[in-house]
Amino acid sequence: MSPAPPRLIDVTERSLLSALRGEGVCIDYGACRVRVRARDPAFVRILRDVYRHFPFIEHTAFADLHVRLARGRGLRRWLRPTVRFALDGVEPFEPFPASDALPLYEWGVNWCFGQRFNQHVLLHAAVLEYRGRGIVMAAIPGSGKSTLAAAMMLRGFRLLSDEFGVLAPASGLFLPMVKPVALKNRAIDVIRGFSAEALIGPVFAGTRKGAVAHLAPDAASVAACAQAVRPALVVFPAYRRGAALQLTPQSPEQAFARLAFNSFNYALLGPLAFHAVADVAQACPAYELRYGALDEAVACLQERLDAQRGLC
Amino acid sequence: MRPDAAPRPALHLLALLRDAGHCRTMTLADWDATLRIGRRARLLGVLADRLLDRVDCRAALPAPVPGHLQAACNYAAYRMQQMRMELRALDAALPREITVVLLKGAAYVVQGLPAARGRIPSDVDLMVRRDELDRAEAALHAAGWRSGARDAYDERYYREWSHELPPLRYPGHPLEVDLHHTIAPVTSRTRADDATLLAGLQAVPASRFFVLAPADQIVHAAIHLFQDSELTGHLRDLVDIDALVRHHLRDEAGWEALFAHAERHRAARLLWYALRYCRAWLGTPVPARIALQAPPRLACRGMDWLVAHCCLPQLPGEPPALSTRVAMVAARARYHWLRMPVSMLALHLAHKGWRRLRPRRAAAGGAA
Repeated sequence: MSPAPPRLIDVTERSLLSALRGEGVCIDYGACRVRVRARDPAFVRILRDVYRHFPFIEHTAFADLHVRLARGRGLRRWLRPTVRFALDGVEPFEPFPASDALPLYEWGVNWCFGQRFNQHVLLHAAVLEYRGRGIVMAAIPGSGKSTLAAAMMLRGFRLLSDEFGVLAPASGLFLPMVKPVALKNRAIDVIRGFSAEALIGPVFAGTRKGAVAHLAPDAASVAACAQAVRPALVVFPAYRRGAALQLTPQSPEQAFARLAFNSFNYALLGPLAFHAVADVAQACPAYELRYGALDEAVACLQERLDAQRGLC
Repeated sequence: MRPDAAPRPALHLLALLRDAGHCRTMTLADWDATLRIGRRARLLGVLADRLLDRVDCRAALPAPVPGHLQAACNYAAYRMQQMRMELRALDAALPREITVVLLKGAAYVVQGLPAARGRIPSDVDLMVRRDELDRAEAALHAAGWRSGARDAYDERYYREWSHELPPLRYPGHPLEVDLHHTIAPVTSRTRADDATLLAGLQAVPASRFFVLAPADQIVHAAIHLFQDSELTGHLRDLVDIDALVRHHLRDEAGWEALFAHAERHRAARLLWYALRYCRAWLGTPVPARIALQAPPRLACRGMDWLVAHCCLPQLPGEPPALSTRVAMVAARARYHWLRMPVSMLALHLAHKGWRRLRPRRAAAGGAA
C-alpha cells in the first residue's frame, strides 16, 4: 500500500503557495474535484487552515472544475485591491475586496457546482451520516441548517455536505460534497462555544451575507469523501430562540414538496428529479424539528437514527 | 486542408465528432481538455448524445467523464423542452392564416432530425413572408412579446438593413424569438431568392409550422456561418451542416438540388467553404467533385487560416495566441465587410463608436 499523501496542513505555506502559483492544487470534495490556482499568500494561509485535513494533490490528470483566483485589473491592483474568480477563463461574478478571497472562492465553487453538475439532483440540504445511516436536512436559508450540521459533525456525525444534497438518480445514494461549513453571523460564536474542537477560520465581516467564518471539516469526514450514503431520515430543521424540542412527523407528500422545491435544479431535470426525490420521500421517515438548543437537537437525531437501526 | 492541421486541443474533439469510437484511444488527461473545449464550443451535448448512445463507447469512458456527459444531455433536454414550450406559445399567438416557417434549431427539433440531438438552442428563429411581417409582429406584440431593441437606431438597423426584426421576448420566457423575412441580410452580397425558399416549403406533420426544403436548410446554415457570424466559436454551425448533409443527402439528385439552390441564393462560395471544412474536420461524406465554382486559391488559403483559428475552440482559461487574436479581428472585419456596402458600414461603425462613448459620459456626469 502506498503511504497516505500529505494533508494540506502537513505541507508548508511556501510549498502550497508555489503549487497554487504553478499548475494549481486539486481539491477533492467527493462529488467534484476542483483544480485551483491562486497567487495571494494571505488566501493560501487561510485555505491551508480550513482545508487542513484535505489531501495535498499537486499532479492529477483530471479535474471537474478549473478555477483561478486573480488580482484585480489596472488600478484595482493597488487602490482598494480586488480579487477575481474565473471558471475556465470566464468570470461570472463582480470582483470581491482582496481580503475576502476565501468567501469568494467558496461561493464561486458552490455556484459552479450548482450550474454544472446536472447529472445529479442538487437539493438545498445538509447531509450527514451516523453509524452507516444517512440523514438529509432540507431548509430554506436562515433556518440554522448549517449550524445544526456543524454541531452534528462536532458530536461525531460524518459530514457529507452542509449545502448540497447531491442525489445520484440512478443509485438513490447521496454523494459527499465535503466543504468547510460557512457559518454566518451569530452562528460563529455559537459553534465556538459549542465545542472546543471547532477549528474556525478568520471572520470575514461585511460580506453580502453578513459576517462569515468557515469551520474546517473533521479528518473522518474528509477521509470518507468517496463514500456515498443511503438516506434513512429526512428532517426539516427550524431554529427558534428558546423553543422546546419538538419533532413533528411529516407525510411523504409534505416531505416530497419540501425537498423538491428546495432544489437547485429540480425544474431542469424534470421527471428524473421527480422520481429520485419521490423515492427518498417514500423510503425515509420525515420530521420537522423545532429546537432552541443545539445539544438537544443533536441528541434527538442520534436517538431517532439508533431507534430506526433497532427496527431493521 | 488536412484535419491534423487543427490546433492540438481541438484534435480529440474533432476526432470524436467524426467517430465517437475515438474515445477508446483517449486518456483521462485528454478528457480533461476535451470536456472543457467541448463545453466552450457548446458541443458537449452533441458529444454526450453520441457517446452515451453507444454501449462500446460508454464502457470505454473513464470514471468522471460519463457524469459530465450526462449533465450535458440533461441540460440539452431541458433547453429542448423550453424550445417546445416557446413554440406552443407562438403557435397560439400567431394567426392561422400566416405561414410560419421554422429555421435552424427550431426546425431540427420539430422535424426530429439527428441535428437536434444534444444541441443547445439559444433562440427560436421564425420566418414569415415579407408582406406578412407586420401582421406577425403585431400579433406577437398583442400577445405580450416585447422588442429587445435599445433605441430608434437599433430599430432602423434591423428593419431596413437586416433580414430579421430586433429580438422579441415574452417577459419571463427563457428563449428569444427572431422573426425573419428571409435568410440573408438584405444589404449583403448574398441575396437569398425568396421565390425558391417559398416554393420549397414543407409542412411539418401534425403541426401548423413549415420548414425549408432540405437544400435550403443546408444553404441557410452555410450563409449563417460564413456571412452572418464572426466565425469565432462557431464550430457548432459546421456540426449542424454535417448532420444535415448526412441526413438529407442520400443520392446524386439531392446533391444536384443543393448546388442548384446555392447558386440561386448566390451562396455558392459559402456552401463550397462549408463543405470543405465539413469534409476536412468532420469527415462529412461529400462527393469528390463539387459542382460549384471554387474560390481563387489565395482567397481559399486566407479562409483556411481564418476559419482554423476562429472556428476551432481553444483551451479555455489560456490567453489566445497572437495569431488567433489577429485572426479574430480579421474575421470581425470580414463579417462587417460582407454584411453591408462600405459607405453604410462607415456610418454604422461611427454610430456604434459614438454610442459606446455616451453611457460613459453620462456615468461621469452622474458621479460629478
